Amino acid sequence: MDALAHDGNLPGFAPRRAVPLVVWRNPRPPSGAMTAQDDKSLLVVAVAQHRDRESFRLLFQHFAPRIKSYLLRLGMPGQLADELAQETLLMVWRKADRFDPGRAAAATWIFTIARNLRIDHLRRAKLPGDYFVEEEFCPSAGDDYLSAERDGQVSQALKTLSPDQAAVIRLSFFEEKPHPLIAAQLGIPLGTVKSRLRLAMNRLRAALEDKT
Amino acid sequence: MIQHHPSDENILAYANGSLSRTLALALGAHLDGCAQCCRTLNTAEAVGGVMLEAQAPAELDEKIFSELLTELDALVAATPPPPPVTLAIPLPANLRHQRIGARRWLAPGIWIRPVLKDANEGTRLYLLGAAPGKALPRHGHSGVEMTQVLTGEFHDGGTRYGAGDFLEAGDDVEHSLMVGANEECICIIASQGVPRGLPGLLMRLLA
Repeated sequence: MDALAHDGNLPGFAPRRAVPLVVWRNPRPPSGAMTAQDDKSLLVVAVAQHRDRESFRLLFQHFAPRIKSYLLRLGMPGQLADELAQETLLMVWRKADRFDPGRAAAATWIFTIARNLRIDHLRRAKLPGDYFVEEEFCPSAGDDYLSAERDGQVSQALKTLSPDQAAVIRLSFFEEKPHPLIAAQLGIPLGTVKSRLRLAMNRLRAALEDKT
Repeated sequence: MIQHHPSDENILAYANGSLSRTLALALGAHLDGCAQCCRTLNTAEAVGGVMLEAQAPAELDEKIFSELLTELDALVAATPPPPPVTLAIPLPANLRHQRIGARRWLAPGIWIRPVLKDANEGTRLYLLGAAPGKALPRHGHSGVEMTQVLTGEFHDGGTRYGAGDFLEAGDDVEHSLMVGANEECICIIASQGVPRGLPGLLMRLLA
């Protein structure tokens, strides 16, 4: 994240916080994982600013196979998963100028695009001709954190969850299982699923708020 | 000052895309004005990003990238969204491009404007307005109901819900609502199933 905040070579992306404050908030050097996240953000910025096809190819190589894997895991047939992975990357190209590296890491931004395309696809299958406008309506968020930094922290905080909490988050979040199904699968009452989710979210929030 | 927020569970479901569309729109109407819940959403989405990064890459057909490059050369502009709705109601940003139906009176001083109905999921989204001091008779629900207060206020027993507040009610909740005395109260409501215990006419109009 620090590279983004300090790098004077990124016209149009002034850091949201004054540099000394960022240093104060994050005294540790960025980890390797965070630098990797950061590189992806720079690739999106290069696509936005220079329509750079080499950066786009690198983004494709990294994300398209992972998006496909995500969609397959949610039960989508292979060919459709190929198409939606392709469409996600097309959207990355089209909307790159709307990516704000101060608000989310590239992986998070691309995750939300893939998620929205998937929802949109499921809707169109059910309600043909139905119009869906994807709106940005969380403008107030993100200002409190430098967000690629936040994604690194989320990644760290996820590792500190108890195996029980992590399992509930993973099942409910990524495999999109309804909570009663998770309860059945883990052999625990529904109320326990809900309380573990709440505890896990509190844990993640606390980990982030420590840093502000 | 917002006092009542959606549960983490539902924000998480919103973030991973598993909330039904009508419920997602009601929750989105809350997010539009709530920095605290936006932070929770951002955290949940960051979890999605981290988990996307952690996916084992699936094998992709070689031709997908070359097709994509061809498409970049011939990008067509997206269909323009329908014009924003202008109502004398401060609509949250996520609802401004929805088609808002005509006003129907449910009872003197109480109206609804249907927004969306999803027959498959049995959910409906509608605006409901009630004049100052109006009471909605005691009723229950056969499914989840989410209410975001846009203007005015109402009281549910001893609890006050003002503009920006969010009320989640499950099928175990029975409540009677009383609108504040000073101004009309307008809410965006997503509900699953049918209300129980309302007079027949109201039930038919809400169904």
